Amino acid sequence: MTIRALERVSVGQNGIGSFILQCKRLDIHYCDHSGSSRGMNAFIKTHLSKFAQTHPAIEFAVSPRPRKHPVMIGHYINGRQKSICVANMEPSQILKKAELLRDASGDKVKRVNKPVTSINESVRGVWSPYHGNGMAV
Amino acid sequence: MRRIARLRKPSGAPLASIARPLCIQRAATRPSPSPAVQINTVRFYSSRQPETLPASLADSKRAVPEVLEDAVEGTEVQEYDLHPAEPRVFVPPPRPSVAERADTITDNLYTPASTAEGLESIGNLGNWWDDPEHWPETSDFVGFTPKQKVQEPVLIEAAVRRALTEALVVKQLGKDDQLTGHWGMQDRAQHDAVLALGLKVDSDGKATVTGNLQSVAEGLVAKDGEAAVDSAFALPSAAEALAWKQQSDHSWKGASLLEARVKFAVIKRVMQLTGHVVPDQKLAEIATARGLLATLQKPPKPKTFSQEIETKKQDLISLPNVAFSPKRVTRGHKDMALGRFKLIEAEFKKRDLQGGPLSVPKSREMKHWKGDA
Repeated sequence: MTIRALERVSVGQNGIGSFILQCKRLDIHYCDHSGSSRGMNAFIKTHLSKFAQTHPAIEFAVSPRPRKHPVMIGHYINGRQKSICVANMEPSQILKKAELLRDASGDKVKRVNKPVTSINESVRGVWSPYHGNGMAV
Repeated sequence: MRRIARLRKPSGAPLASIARPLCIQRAATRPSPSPAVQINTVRFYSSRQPETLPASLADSKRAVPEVLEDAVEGTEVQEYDLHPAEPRVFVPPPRPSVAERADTITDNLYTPASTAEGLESIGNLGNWWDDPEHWPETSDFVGFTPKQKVQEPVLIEAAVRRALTEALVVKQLGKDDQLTGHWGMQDRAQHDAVLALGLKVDSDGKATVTGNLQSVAEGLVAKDGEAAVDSAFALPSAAEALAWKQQSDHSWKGASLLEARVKFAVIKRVMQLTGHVVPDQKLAEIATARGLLATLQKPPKPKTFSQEIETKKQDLISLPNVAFSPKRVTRGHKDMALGRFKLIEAEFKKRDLQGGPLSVPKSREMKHWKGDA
């Protein structure tokens, strides 16, 4: 008799049922005086308020980092971080980067070189030499 | 430190004869600075004692009266007291002696020196200005504006109203020369009396002052030797000024300042009362008292971006999911937020070590950069 594994009833997928944002915190660092922070300072003044209002699930920590380039660091619920240097960027570009950090899962970036990926099990199954009736050669 | 720049060159008169007496006379009428000014003034004296004065300065006490003797006849030399009990002016260096020209010497025994050895040194002031007796603190420059600017908008408004009323009083009495004169700070009673005067402004902006104008105009003229800035003058408190503002009519703000002499008098007086200097580029656009108020009451520009966020972006800071820190967040702050810092401190104390990342002393070099020993 072949061994049969327990059948999986469902696969957990974020967004089916409920959606949990993977980014839990966004650190925003700027410098008071450096020119590379000009865009970041403008972003904080013009865009951040609205962006923070529309994402109540993310904690925003804004603090200066004197004599350093401006940086945004995303913290994710899998414990990982993702940081982006936004030196000399325009406020609109920085907003794009903030959206990127928001949408990221926090996983390491993996190379995808297959045209189709699926989380469903193969219908055909996986062949095993130890199972089944065997085949006369 | 040599302060030769303090000696002013008199205009018109021959330099050798009356340069120093004029300088003394001018400085003698200078008002004494307020105590607050003295505290704020930092002076650096050399710790070195003048070891060898040049020969020309060696007998300074004798030399100074000689200078005065050279003064132009008719100058009241006897009034000058160069070494009073509490000197209020600087003591000028004595007049340098000039060597006789070799070709005018009639003495047959005279032979010109071939080396500098043994000759008297002449020609500089040595350490004259390093001596505190020659340059007392009381002789320091006293500016026209007070050192502390008034920042309360209500107090600035009261000062503008006072300045406008005073200028208009002088104008109405026909004493146009007084508009550009030196006005005393006066006392608090005078301040209240000026604000109590009525000020009516018609639709063209022409203002008329009603009340006891004569007493205000008389009190306005500064006494001889009165300081432009008087630390004893107490401005009303913000609450008092607010009470005055609520009672008063605001139509006076429409008073015209298009007349140049009145405008000058008002701005000068406001500068004296509040310490605010109106920039030149703003002068032309100020046409009414309201315009002047708008220029003065503008809050000062924030020094850093963090300050700007704190003051102007309350909508961002007040969001529940935004934490703003005006200073750099360090590892120690993160420990504090987690409640871990107390434990770390306790463990450090057990091992007799310093108390964590926040208690690291500043570098010693920092002190040296700031000029401390």
